[in-house]
This record gives sequence, C-alpha cells and structure tokens, in this order.
Amino acid sequence: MKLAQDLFEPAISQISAEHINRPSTTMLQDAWRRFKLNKLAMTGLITLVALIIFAFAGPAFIDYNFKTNDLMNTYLTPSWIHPFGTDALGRDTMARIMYGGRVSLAIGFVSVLINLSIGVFYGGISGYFGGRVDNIMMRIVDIIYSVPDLLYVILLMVVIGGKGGLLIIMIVLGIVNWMGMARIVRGQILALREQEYVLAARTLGASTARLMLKHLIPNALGPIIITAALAIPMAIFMEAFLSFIGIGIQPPFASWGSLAAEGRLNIPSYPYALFFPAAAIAITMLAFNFVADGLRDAFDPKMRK
Amino acid sequence: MAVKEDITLNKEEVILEVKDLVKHFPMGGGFFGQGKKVVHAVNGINFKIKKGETLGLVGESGCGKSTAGRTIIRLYEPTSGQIFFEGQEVTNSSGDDLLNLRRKMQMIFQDPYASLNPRMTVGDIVGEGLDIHNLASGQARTDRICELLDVIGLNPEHANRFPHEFSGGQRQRIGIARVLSVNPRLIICDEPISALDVSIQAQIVNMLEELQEKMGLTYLFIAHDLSMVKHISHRIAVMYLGRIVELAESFELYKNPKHPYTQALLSAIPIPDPRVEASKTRIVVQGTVPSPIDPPSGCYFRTRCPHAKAVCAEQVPELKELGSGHVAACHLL
Amino acid sequence: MERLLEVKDLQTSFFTYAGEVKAVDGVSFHVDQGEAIGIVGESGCGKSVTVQTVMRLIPTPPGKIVGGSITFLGKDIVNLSEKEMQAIRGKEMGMIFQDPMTSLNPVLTIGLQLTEVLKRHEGLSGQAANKRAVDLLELVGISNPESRLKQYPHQFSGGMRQRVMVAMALTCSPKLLIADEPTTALDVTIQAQILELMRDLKNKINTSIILITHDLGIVADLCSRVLVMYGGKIIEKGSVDDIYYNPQHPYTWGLLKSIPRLDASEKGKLVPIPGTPPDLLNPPKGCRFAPRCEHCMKLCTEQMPEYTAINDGHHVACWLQHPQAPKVAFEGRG
Repeated sequence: MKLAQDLFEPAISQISAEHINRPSTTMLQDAWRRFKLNKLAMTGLITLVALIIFAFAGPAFIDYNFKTNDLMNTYLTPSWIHPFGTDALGRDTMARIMYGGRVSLAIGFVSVLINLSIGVFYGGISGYFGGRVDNIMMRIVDIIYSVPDLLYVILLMVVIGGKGGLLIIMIVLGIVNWMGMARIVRGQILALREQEYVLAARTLGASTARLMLKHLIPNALGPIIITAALAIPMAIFMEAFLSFIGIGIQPPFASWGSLAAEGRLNIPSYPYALFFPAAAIAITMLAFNFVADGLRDAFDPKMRK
Repeated sequence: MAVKEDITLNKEEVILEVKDLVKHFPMGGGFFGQGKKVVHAVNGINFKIKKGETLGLVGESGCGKSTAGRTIIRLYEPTSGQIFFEGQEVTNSSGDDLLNLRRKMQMIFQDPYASLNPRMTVGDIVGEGLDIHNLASGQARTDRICELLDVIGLNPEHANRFPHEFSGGQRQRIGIARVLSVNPRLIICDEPISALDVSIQAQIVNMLEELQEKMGLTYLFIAHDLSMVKHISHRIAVMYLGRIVELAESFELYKNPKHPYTQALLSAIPIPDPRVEASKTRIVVQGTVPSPIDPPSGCYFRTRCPHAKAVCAEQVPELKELGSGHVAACHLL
Repeated sequence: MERLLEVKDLQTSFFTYAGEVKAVDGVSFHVDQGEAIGIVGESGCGKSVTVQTVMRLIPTPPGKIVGGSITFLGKDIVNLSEKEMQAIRGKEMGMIFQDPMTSLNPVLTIGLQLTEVLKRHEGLSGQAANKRAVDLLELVGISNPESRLKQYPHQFSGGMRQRVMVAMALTCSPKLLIADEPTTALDVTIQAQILELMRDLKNKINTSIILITHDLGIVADLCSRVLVMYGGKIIEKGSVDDIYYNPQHPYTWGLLKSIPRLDASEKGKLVPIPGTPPDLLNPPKGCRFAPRCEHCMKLCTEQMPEYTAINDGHHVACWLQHPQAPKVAFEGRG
C-alpha cells in the first residue's frame, strides 16, 4: 500500500515525559469529592447544617423565647402560631427545641473535642513508643473501659456536677469517652510507624515531635475524623439520657433530653411534647451516622482512582 | 569472627567499616527473658567500603541484607559489633553526634509507594532534610528545593504536588532528591529498584551512577537482583542467613565464584539469551533457607550444599583471603 | 492439527466511571499442544487481563469481552456459561497466580484444598483423592508429602506454597497451564526450582504453558515462542530466536537494551525507555508506543500500524516495516 512519503518524516514527540495532566488535589479534596457523590451522606450533611442553622439562628426569626411562661396557653396542639405546640408552662415548644438544640449540639461538639484531644495524645504516645509503655497504657485503658461508661458519667455528675452546668457536662462527657479514640489512634500509629516514609524521616534525623505532628497524626486523620463523627451523636445521646434522668441540664434551661423528660409525663393526652425533642435527637443521630459512613467511604484508600 | 586485613584498601580511603556486626531480634512471648526465641538476622558481618565506590550486598530473602543496612544507619540498634564512619566509631552515637552522622550517611528505600508521606507536598518532602538540619530557609530553601528537583529531572511546579500524582519511577527519584538535600557522603540503597518496572529500573540506576560521578558519592547497594547489582557495583558481598559468604570484585565474582552458594546463585539467574540458557549447566540447589530462629551449627549453608563434609557442621568457616581482595567462607577452600 | 488454544482479535474493556479502559485491544495468538509461550510486557500492558479473559475470570461488571473469539479444544469459550467454564477451569485449564501467600485459603489444610479439586473434577473418593494428592506433592518436589498434607499454608515457605499452587493447578492434568508471574515474588534459587519443575512437567506430561512475566531471562529459559505486549496490543510475536536475535520493534529493542546481563564481560550502558506507559482510558491515536519511540514518524501518530510478517511466525506491528520507511537497525545491547 503506497502512502504519502512525507508521512515517514520523523515526528517530534509532543508529550513531555514529565507532564502531569490532572490538576493537583490533596487527600482531603479528593475525599470531599468522593463524599459529595454519596447521596445519603450529603443528605445527612445538609440535614445537620439545617439543624445547626435552626438551633442557632432560628430564635431570631420567631417571637417567642424559651422562658416566657404563658399559663393561659398550656399544652396547645401545634398550630401556625406555635408550630410545635406549647409545654406545661405555656412556653413555646419550638423555641425551646431551638435553644435545646444549641445546648445539645454544643455539648456534642465540645465534648468530642475534649475527647479527641485526650484520646489522640494518649493513643499517639502509646502507639509511638510501643513495647512496655504501650502495654501499660493500654492495660490502663482496658481497666477503665471495663466499667460501664454510664456509671462513670452518673458518678462524676453527682460528685462534680452539682448543679449540672453546661461546661461540667461537656468535660465529663469528654473524659468518659476518650478511650475508644485512644485505641483507634494507637492502632493507627502502630501501623504507620513502620511505614517507609516514617523510617525515611527518622533517617533524616527527625525528632519525635516532628514525626508525630508531620508524619504520623496527619496520616491517621481518616479514622480519627470518622471516630469523632460517630462520637458526636453518642455524646448528644448520652447528654440526652443524663438530662432525661434529671442529672443533666436543669430547667429553665433546656436540652433535647430534658425536653423529652418533661414530655414523658403526658404521653397519652399530649404526645407532642415528647415527640418533637425525640424526633430532633433521632434525626440528628441518623444524620451524623450517614455523614460518618460517608466519611469512612470517602477516606478509604482502596476506593481511590 | 576474625577477618584478615584487606590489603587492597588504603586506610584513609575507607569511608565505612563494619566489624562483627550482629543484629538479633527477640521474639515476643512472656515477660521474662529466659528461653525467649531470637531471630538471628545478622550474624557477624565485616566489610569496608572505599570512598567513591559502590559495594553491592546481595542475597535472597531472609539473608539479612536489609536488616544490615538499617542497622548501619541506626534505624535499628546493633546487638553487638562496631560501625566506623570516616575512621570514627559511631556505633553508639546519640544526640548531636547522631544528628551529624545523619547528614553524612543516608538511605534510599525500596517501596516508592510507601516511602513518601502522602500528606506532604513534594517540595516539603524534598525540603525536610533542610528543615531538620536548619540548612536553608525562606527563599534559599525554595531555591535549593528547585535545584534538587532539577537534578532528578522534575520541574519546579512539581513541588506543589502530592506523591500520588507521580509514577513509581518519579517517586523513587523524589526519594533520591530528599536524600541529596543534606549532601550525604554515603548512601545506603535498600532495594531501590525492586518495585519498579524493568525499563524504569534502568533510569534510576543510570541516575545513581551519574550522581556518583558528579558528586563523589559512595553507595552500599542492597538488592536481590544480581544482574543489576553486578552492573552498578565495583565489589559485591554475598550474604546467606546473616553472614557474608563471599566478597569479591564484580567481574571476578561472576567469573570465579568460590562459595557453593554463590555458584548456585549465579547459575540460577536466567540470562536473556536463549542459546546461552540452553547450553547452561544448571546447579539447582534443593531445599529452602533454614529458619533464622534456629540456624544450623557450623556453616549455615551446609544443609543445602552438595559438597558438605563433616567439618562443615562442626566449625563456622572464616572468610579466607583468596587473592586481590576476593574472600570466601568455605571449608573446601 | 487442531490448535489447543486460538485467540482471535480479542478485546476486553473495563467500563469505569471515568470511561472505557481498553485493557486488551485486538489480541490474536495461538498455543499448540506441548509448547510453552511467554507473554512479556510491563505493568499495565494487558498481559494479565488477556489470560484472565481466556479463563473467563474477568469480573463482569466492570469488565466485558467486547469482541473477538477464544477457541479452546475446539470449543468457543467466550459464550460458555459460568457453570460450563467451571467444568473447564481446574480440569482442562490450570492457573498459577503471582502471590502464593494470598492464593491459598489460610484456614484449610493443603490436603483439603488439593483433594477438593480432585473430588470435584475427577469424582475421586476420599482415600483415592488423598493418594493422588500425595503423588502430586511428590511430583512438585515437596518432601514428606503425607505429613505435609495435614499442614496449613502458613507452615509453608513462599517457594513451597508456589509448588503447592503448581500441584493444585496440575491436579487434573490440564492441557493448558497458565502461569501469571509465578516466580516474581520468589527468590532466584527458588525460582530456578520452579522453572525446572515446569520444564519437567512440559516434557513429561506434555502440558502447554502460557508464562506471563516481565523477566526476559526466564522467557529465554523456558519458552519457545514469545508475545511482546504494549498498551493492550501485541506489538511483536515470534520464536525466541526471532525475538532475541532479530527483534524488529523499537519497544522490544528498548526492553533488551534496558536490562543488564549477568554475563556481560564489560560494563555496558543501560538505555532506559523514556516516558511512561500510555493511559488506556485515552490511548494515543495511532501507535501506542509512538510517544516514547525515538524513531517515531508522522505516520505513527496518525495510524495504527499493521502487522508485517518477517517470516513464518514472526510478526511485528510497526510502520518502520513499511517499504517506504527509512531503514533502522537494532544497535544491539549497550
């Protein structure tokens, strides 16, 4: 088959051998991209954002606040004026749910922050040093773990809690729940410690602090974030439980748990008082769980590319 | 294990000397030390490396070559023995001395997919040595990073990218740049090409050779691919179960292997030439390497050696000098 | 004589979220009874996918055979049902994978794993199956086979495990043994043992072997014919003599020039192939190797080269073979 002769001229390759075609993405951007594709996770995230706006910005848009009594209008069924009804003292339930939401969500986030700090520090040290140090530290965790956490919480609340202020609850919940995080972090660090990039950093002369802060913990972030995401609804639930049994948030302040406790008294005749706070707790926990699942999938290295 | 003085190596030129280096790993089990099992990874090795040369360290899996490299660079603490760098004993260096040593002696790792921190940019990875040793900051640091990237054939823009965007060969080159940042004199290459495609291996090996010429580097090249080791090394040491069984110049080792293990090893390597393969006399050694937890008495290779005699089980053979630096540890010689 | 295996214009693609990855794009070759052929190429060239397609082991989403035919012992393999394939796999076709650590079930004894195949395909009873298993372990050179049968995979070394894999692949005396990088994870002395074993088997029981590897040395040792693959296509095929002593494709030249030879009497120069393998999601128009080829012509970037027959059995897909192309010779190893 005869072809045009100029086709046999040498061609200079256009492709630069070292060119990288795709735009740069960090691990986090990549994970976010994958997260966005997960419909359930995005639903959860949007729900959470909506709830946060509802709880923190909501009160600015309604006329009622959570304290004002109106004894003429107790136990109203939900209507346009009081979308969630009113409670035993005539207070607007929706306002109380909003304020209660602030408390519950704040407790959730802050206690997990405390939980995270203690857990990452403890687990990091245990995992990094390994051997005997790790052994002793983990046995301590085992011992603490074997006692039911509710027992701790109740004990601590009774001993330290006193009037059950917001900060005390946050601290107690943080202290009680760090063990799970410590275990996860320790497991991660133990595995990562033997990775070649850590060895390379050690060979370069990196200090322990540098290894932890630049190499080990940043690479353990995936499981840390996921564990934290799951710990938040657990903290919210635990707070709800505490308030439910009366040693958490005290009236006139509200949290979803305490609102549920108040609503428990009149279920047959006025179910709305229990329904709305319980629904709020349930939706929040479900949303967090979807988000945590989505995060787990997004961070899973096997799903890359 | 005593070793004869190697007359071909002038004392001033020796950059690294290893004497009777031993590394044993205790195996778990029980709080009390008695009767605990031990993995005898490295069992007394001796060698010297001259400035500017490449010493190849070969052996199959479990022979302890990687462990030896990591012990020399102090990622593991030696169980016993001595390490001398540029004449100074560094076996137990710590603190600032160790930090200084780290600037002069560095290591390139095997797995390009695991040896770079996935959360750091390439620029930060390459610049880490500069940061740790305070060698440069600000603009000087950026310039030096670009310089290093250029040496390994990447562009300055690549400094802001992450390791997962690069191929295996490129990642390995980044690992080389990282090591060069501290201007080392000796680089231990721990299986630097085993995880790469065949045509990329040549790229890396050529780069290492160029750098050696330009910068006067010394290499301890640890690998299991004897063909590649012979290509890049001036001298080769063959390890078996934690001991050096033979050490000679590369071409000499291939032409005149003296130790039965070396002979079997060389025979086992297939040559990409059908006629040569068809006419090769094969020495197929049977069995497998004994466990390093419970090595045989005397010569470790005797369980698989076709020429084993009674003395092989009784005495550990010493490295005998066979002329012009060629040594081998075998009772038959 | 009927060919044992005939593959014609096989095309296998993977349909991913990013698009269609043409892993195997028009591959044709055959295997006769009793011969060993080697498929060489670097990672991503499609060699594993090709043989996995022949064994119908490609997961069918996202993979799919989009074209071509596979004829094994006269039967069309492409359209067989999974049940019919199961009757062939293990019985007529055996496969050895690369990683002996993960190919064996860690919770079953070796004996159970071997006899399972025997009971299934040959219908042997317990005792007869055990005896066969012992014979097989002896065949592959495992000492004390009776006691070894009762052991678990973790009690075997890497080389031993690979021998067990070979034994498992051979249980029903298959006509075709496919070995996908069987020795890459093994030490070189163990590799020699396994290759010796495969050579013996080929001679003794006339098994055909397809050996996939990136190591040109073991191909020279064991095989009589070679297929060189790149970017999902066979770019050169021929006898070992053709490929090693008269290679025609620049990629084959590149491969031969970039590997060191143990028996080189002086220090030569390794010449690496510049660049990286093509992205099979968006393969370049024209010859897949063109971006990395130092003899690339304008024609190469526009049209896929056709196969030229150098002699009976030696085919190469390269525009340098066209009568109008400039003459380029292989300078030989560096």
